[in-house]
Amino acid sequence: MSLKDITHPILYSTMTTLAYNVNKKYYGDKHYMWCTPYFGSDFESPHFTVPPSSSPLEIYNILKNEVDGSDHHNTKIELNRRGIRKGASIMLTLGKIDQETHDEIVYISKKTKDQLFRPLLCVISRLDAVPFYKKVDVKNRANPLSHEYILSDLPQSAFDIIRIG
Amino acid sequence: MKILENVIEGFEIPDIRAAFYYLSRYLKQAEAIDEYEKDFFEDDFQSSPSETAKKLTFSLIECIESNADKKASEFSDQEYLYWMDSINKIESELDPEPSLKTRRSAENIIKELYFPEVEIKKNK
Repeated sequence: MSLKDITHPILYSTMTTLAYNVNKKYYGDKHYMWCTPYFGSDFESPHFTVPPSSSPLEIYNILKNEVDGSDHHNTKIELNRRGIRKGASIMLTLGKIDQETHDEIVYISKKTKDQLFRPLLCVISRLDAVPFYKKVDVKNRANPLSHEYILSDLPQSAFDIIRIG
Repeated sequence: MKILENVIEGFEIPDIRAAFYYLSRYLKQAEAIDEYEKDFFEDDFQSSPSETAKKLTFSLIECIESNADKKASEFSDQEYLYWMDSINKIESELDPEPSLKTRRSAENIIKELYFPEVEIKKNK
């Protein structure tokens, strides 16, 4: 279902502090994020059409536990480091950054301490987000009823940041 | 035993990086892929993986699942962590060492990283 067609007023997304910093410094304060109108985890509801691993609250808590050291595997932090590198690789291919900047981001993604992966909860007005939602061709979407959306180049003015816990 | 290294040999770094990223998504979502009918390649229109990266992702999935002799959806937590650790190690060593200038610049930027201020509005 398109972002234009749902009725929820608010969308939620969790990003890391490092990703936020990289977006601000290197990508003109434009943010890429996955978001959903479901903050929590009402997984039993038939209307909840995203898996638990996509819940912003779940992602927030996993990252927080890894940063606080109560989860020693750091799987989510490492995945985020790699996501930042993949993002830099795409920006280089698109010609939005040069090789030197790409190498700098890659180095930063590897050397930044885990504490800088503290999660940030983004609260987004759905109406403000609609222009930044590039709908994927339906044939590429396995589940057309899924309520997960990718926003790209979303300006900071379109969302607030909250830290919880 | 260089299981994954053999599969990625000869590919360009951007395709390997992308393939490892989508492979990790596949492993992470393995249990939910059927239930939620998720496409682990789904991405923003300008971030979509190349055909080469997609094929490499499938090759890596096949390699891991044939090595484990089971589908990723049947992996235990230990097996999942083992493969994610293996992917992290290989992926983080793909890039050549950056120049001294780049390293110094990056170190300075790391010192400047900050936690965004969270505005707290109190009711008067």
